[in-house]
Amino acid sequence: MSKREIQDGPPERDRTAAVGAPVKRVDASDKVTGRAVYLDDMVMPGVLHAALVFPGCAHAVLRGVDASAARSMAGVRSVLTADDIPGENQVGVIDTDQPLLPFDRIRYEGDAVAVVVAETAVLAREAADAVSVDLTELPGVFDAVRAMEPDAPLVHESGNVFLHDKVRKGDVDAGFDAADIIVEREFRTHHQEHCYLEPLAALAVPADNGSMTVYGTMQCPFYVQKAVADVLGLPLASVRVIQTVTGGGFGGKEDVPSEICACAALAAWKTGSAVKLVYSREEDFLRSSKRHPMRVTFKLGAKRDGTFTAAKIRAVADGGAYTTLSPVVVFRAAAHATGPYEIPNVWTDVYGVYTNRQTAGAFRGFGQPQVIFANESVIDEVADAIGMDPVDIRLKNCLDVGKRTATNQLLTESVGLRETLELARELSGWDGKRAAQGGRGGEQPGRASDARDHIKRGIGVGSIYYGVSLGAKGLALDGSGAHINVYRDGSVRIGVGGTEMGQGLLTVLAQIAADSLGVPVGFVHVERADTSVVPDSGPSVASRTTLMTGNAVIDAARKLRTVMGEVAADSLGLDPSEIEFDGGTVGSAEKNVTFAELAEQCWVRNVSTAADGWYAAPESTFDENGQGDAYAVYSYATHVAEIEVDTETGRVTVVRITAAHDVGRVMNPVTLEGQIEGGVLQGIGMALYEQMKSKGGAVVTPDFSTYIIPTAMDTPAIRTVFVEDPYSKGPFGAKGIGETPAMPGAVAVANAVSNALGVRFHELPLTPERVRRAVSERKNS
Amino acid sequence: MYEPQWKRPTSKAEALAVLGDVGEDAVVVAGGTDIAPLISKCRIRPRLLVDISRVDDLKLLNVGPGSKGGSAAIGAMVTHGALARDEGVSEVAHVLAAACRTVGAPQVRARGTIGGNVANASPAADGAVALVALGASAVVESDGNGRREVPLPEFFLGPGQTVLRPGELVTGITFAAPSSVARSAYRKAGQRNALAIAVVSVAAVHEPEAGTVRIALGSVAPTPIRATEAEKLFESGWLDASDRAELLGAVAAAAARDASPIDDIRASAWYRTVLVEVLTRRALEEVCL
Repeated sequence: MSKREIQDGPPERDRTAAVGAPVKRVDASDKVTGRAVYLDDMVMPGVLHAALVFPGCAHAVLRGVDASAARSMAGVRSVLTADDIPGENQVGVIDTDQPLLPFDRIRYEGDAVAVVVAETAVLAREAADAVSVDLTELPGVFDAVRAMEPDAPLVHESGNVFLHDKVRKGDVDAGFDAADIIVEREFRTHHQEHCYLEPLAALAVPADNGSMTVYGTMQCPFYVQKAVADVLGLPLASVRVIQTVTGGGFGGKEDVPSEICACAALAAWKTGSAVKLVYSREEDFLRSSKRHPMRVTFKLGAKRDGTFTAAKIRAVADGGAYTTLSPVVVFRAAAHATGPYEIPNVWTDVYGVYTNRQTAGAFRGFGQPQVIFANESVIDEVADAIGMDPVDIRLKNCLDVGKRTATNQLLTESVGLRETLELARELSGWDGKRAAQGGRGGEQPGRASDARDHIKRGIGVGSIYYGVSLGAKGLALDGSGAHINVYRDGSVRIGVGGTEMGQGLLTVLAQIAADSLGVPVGFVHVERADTSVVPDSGPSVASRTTLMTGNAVIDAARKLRTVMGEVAADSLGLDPSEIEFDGGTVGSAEKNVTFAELAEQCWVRNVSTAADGWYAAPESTFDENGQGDAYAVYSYATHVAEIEVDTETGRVTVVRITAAHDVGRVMNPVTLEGQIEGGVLQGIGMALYEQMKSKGGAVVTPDFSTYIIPTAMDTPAIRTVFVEDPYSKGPFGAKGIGETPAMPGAVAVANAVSNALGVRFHELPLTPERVRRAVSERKNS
Repeated sequence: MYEPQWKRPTSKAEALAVLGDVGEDAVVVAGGTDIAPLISKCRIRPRLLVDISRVDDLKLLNVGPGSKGGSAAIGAMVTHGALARDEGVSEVAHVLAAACRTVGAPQVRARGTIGGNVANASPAADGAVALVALGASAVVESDGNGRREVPLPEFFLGPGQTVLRPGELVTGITFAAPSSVARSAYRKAGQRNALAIAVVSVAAVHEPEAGTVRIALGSVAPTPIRATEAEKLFESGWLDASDRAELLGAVAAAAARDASPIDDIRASAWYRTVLVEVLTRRALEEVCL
């Protein structure tokens, strides 16, 4: 039986006590009191420390590594290079183009050629600096469009263009012929860094019989397990990976932890000691993946009444030096490039291109925020050209039940986009403000208007959809497990493969388990992910974990209710069909036992009260023309941004964001609001501040004083509002929420600035200088 | 393995004696907000760190209504936070309090000191730019050579470079307090609202009775500078000006010509020139109109 055949249908329980309630985060106390043990807090006797050797150039032939000086330093235990790897020198999660330790070529500034192991972290760093590397530098390529030219330096022998996903729907030429207005523009976005609070870190501990246990801050323990097993040449069963308390991920801890964990494991294997490897913030910025810079050309045709007739999109994504997760990102960008609208004729090409820049991989939104900047900007330009309100033109074309996506997928349920648009419009006061503000100096209540002629106010909108989970190109990874153990006192411990990275998963799973077993949330303890407890459950990415792991918990709980219900029926003299699990009791209204008493009865009778659950994603498809049911279900969101621009300095202040999200079902309103607020800030960062800059492949914004992210002092008022259009296969109706909050905000801000100034922007971020220059150019033209 | 020596004198005399002994291998640690990142990023590797954070006789703050028209003195170890909060400073030298309020974030303001801000000689230093507009001098002392007062524009030689000789310590700041009718302002453009290094900063002190203004600019030259041509233009025309707003615009434009900014990671020279004019005009409008 394939794993896809053993999934069961929708959850049969709809009575909820914990789900939907503002249950306090189960990890809140530990985190705010400092009791939470992050990787670098872990203490282990005799632990050694590792540091990496970076040659510090972007493209070179690697001729040799001379570690003799480092090896002779007191306290240095080992220096490892590619030659010391017992298994495969490979950590690429999708393609096998990324060596753990390069042996012949350096392809970007973050490539490390050796691992130094010493008695202290400071000593390891000093010894790493004493390793000399023999290189012959090569010309590099640092721009993806340049990399596509035939004479560009090759990053890999196979050629620089390594991905091309397309969508072909309808007849795009006929669609443009039928249009009354056509707008075509080119857009640019840049590297964005995740900036999770906790930098990457790993601790590898040699265990019994040559096996290895690896602790780390990560989103995807099963990726790490595979990478460590491959590098050490061990069977998967000999590698156990335990996720530690993880201080943020946002995609940056999807595949990248495999590198640091494999380096630590290699060092532990060689020395026979526990080895810790912790990146500094600068190393983390250097070596972690980024949001793909994209160059997007977007052409949109529309009728005079606002009906879209055709869209043609060409996007080039800078994947950096290795493939990493680019295939997923490029696929997702291609599938979603038109935005959440029904467009009959679509022609989309998205390319993934190697350069000698930092690797680009997973980042909240997975390639969509870049194409969203394009599609949501062009829609505003079309609306302007035909004199239509931006919200109206979106409502005119938006996806709905019965409509078809760009991949020609017929949407049959849970499409809450229209409601998000209507709610965001109403709650933001869109209609009055759009009419009053656009491009005019404004009065603001409580402030004098006379000294503020240089302040212009604007309001803008962005809408998005997001295919939940991995979709057609990630089906092999798209199962998830849970193991529930009910102890004889009725307390419940749950092991899962999904990870808590700060988003609140442990709390939401406890809520799901509590309602599925009819017990209070306090009965349930959910353990962080451990590869020894459940089958490979795929990654915690793509807004999939509540859906996938949540359904796995429901599946395990259903099995337990069956087994424990039979014991209850027998002891209470009821038919199993009369047994209800609710409020901590089991049985009927008249005859019942407490859940704890039932657990004890099961123990006495030697009935197992452990169960495994599994959930596999429904089938999805994406053919060679990009047509098919690409994702099982989509989440939707609309953000409205209100901004002020100082036209003399170019400085943009975001005053308020109204964020409306269709999540299927609200599992926990407090954690949900927190996720949305964080995403809003990342969107504002992308819109106004963030750009990882490099020169000749060398990062010139290596730290938080040069890479600018918004602070609390830059945070606007944020109004969140939820739409609940339930998904029949979701746990209690829920869809994903992880990515969507970070997606519509950037373009909503950009559209608001355009509304204020009457100038369109085609490149992010809208730094004060860029905005000020646009004001100058407008005056001059 | 790098392990610097650490000395922690508890009086000014002891601090000067320590510095006199060790000479140029020593780096003084006041609040540590600039030194600590430099050491952790291996940009500097001083053999000896002299921590003066417990030298209480460098923490005196003598700025208040009583010092108006007279002399104001600030010990080197007075923090940005203390200056930002101090009522006397706000009344007598508003520009300094306002500048200190824009430094870093509360944690940095609680540790960072005015002496360190000056001795570190960053062209972007908020406190230093305000002090230049106040016409302040650095009080420099050493064990053998006594005490000298160096006007700030002369104290700075370039980014991170000062006239300090081995063994010398900035022990305080002194300036002639502005008159009781003087007004002052600080305007700063950073890349965000907190934890922001100035892209451009402007400090202005206006003496209405004398018809003079002192304008200092940050982040537009190798050191904090005075906008001397702008000041002269103001002084020559202010008392008789028929259209004062127009004059301020011309003075602001002159300040932009006084600046000699460069392109760097934070902004281009072009944008900095734009900002100098805008921020100077706004500062002058605040203190003159």
